[in-house]
Amino acid sequence: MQIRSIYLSIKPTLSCNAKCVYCDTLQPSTILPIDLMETLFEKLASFTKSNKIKYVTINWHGGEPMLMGLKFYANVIDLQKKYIKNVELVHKMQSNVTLYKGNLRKVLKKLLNSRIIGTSLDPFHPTRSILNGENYYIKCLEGIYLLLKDGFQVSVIYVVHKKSLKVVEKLYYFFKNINIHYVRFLPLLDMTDPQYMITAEEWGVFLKELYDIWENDNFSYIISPLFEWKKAILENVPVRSCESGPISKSGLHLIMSHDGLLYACDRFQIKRTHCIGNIMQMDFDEIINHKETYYVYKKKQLLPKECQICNFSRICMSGCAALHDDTGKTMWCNGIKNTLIHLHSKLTKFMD
Amino acid sequence: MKIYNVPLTLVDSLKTKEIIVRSPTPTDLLHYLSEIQSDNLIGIQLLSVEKDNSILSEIELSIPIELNIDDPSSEYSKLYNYVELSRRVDFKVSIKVKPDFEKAVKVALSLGYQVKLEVGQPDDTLVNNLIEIFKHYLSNPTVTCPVEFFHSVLIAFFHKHSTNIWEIQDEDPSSNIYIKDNGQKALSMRLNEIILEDNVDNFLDERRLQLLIEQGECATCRFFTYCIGYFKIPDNSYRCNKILELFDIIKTAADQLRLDLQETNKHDGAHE
Ligand code: SF4
Ligand code: SF4
Repeated sequence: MQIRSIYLSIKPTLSCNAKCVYCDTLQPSTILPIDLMETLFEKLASFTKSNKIKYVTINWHGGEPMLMGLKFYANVIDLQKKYIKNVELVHKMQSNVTLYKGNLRKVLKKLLNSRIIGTSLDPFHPTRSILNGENYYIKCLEGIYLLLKDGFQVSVIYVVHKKSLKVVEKLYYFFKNINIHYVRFLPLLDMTDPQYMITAEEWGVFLKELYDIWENDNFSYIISPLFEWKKAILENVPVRSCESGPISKSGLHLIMSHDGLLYACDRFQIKRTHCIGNIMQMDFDEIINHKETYYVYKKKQLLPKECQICNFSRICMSGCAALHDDTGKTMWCNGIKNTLIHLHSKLTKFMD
Repeated sequence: MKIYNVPLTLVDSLKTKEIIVRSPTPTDLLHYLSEIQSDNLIGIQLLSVEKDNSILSEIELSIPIELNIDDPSSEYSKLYNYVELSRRVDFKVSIKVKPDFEKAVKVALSLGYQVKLEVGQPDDTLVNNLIEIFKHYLSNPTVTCPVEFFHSVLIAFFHKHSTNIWEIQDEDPSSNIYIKDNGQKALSMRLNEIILEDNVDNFLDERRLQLLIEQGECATCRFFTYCIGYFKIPDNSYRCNKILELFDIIKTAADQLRLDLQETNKHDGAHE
């Protein structure tokens, strides 16, 4: 299989300056050493050259990637100049953006050439705080404001929890009013606290209500996953994402943590399973031939029986492979199915 | 490009800028106009309604004139005096939303004048009258001139454009600056207590941020993109429930227009 593009999500630190009630990212301050970054660029340069790969995306993730500071990213820019030639290398970032200011802002403006940044925010419930006592909500909004001023497309991840069910309309308009590029709603995972935990059915209830509000507002901005699902239904095309939809082997998708360990999926990195190996000991030819590298792809080739006969398998494809239950389907199956039934009935009027 | 709204007496100090000059009376205007040599004069604002404005016929004008109606209940009948002027120049009346404003709007429209509503923070009765005027503007076939801000908001809803009332009402300081009689820069005639800093281009972005941080009514308002807290100044505690009703009516009308157009296009397509 010819690789045409590489998507590399790098977690240069697992530490964070904030604390979210549903995240246990607070790790001892582990950081990615710059010589490891140099090895990565060296190997990337040789692999892209011998395989004529033209497109590489690096998504800086964490922990909180801005904690690495301006010196680290200035070094990354220098290393890129030294090693990466004839390849379009695009940098993005997923951050809480509360540290986007001052000289770091200047370096990141230079590094993040895609002008794309993602953040996360909960406007109505105290689920996020900054460790030094500053107000997460205000600092994040100020960061978004500066990013928009600097010409970035900002997207927001909102984690849907039990309390979100009461404020669906407020959430929809709040995110619209920030003036961001899109908002991605994700159901809360790995949390048993009944105050926050939601069931698959509740996820469906949330999405259906959200859809009705969105339709009533003439679909005026992009909300995920409803945007992709609506497009898939109306245009009869598959959703292109590793989560819900088929994925292609021609795009190599890797997550690298601060210690150089590689995974095929962010959730495998968090759970530390299905590890591919370490960039310091492997080159890219070994990586692409490793059985774990295409774990997600292989899972999507072999859907469980219920998904094979499901009317929505073209759109859902059994959901995120890291979240499959014992039956091999996503744990959110009921919610997704109910939402897609709702969307289908509502969208028929747009179909002729 | 920034437009400065300046008093007659300060024209000289701003003559390199694009200016709208405001004059208390037509007589003052006539007096000063001969001295104003500015090629950058792009409009005139008359601040009072005169019974006899025949003096205006002495002025050769090719730039737009806006007439301010501050007290609609006593001034609406004087609007008849501007018919001749309105035939010669691009003419608009700016009507303060106060009791009887609807009478002034109806007279202005019947005479074929463009209308701009100085809306401020209207109480419930005035909003009901605004709704009535919007319906009159929308459905009366004899109305051929735009009523702002209705017209631009309706178009924005129809095309799903982003525009905002600050811009429509010439109160966005990134494009319009109001120069007070003492030379200070202010937000607008209506909001002349709000003095502007030197860098005003980010005014609306900063306002948006502030309103979101405050988490008041605006943060989750369904019309925030078009309004950006316009109705929360000067009194931040103003409640918008009736204004939202008005916006809803304009939006419903825009949605209906779009549907009608789609139907017509479908119908035409079927006959081609
Ligand atoms: S909705 Fe459920 S059954 Fe259908 S494809 Fe998705 S996981 Fe499978
Ligand atoms: S209509 Fe009222 S609540 Fe809505 S944005 Fe404007 S001022 Fe704020």
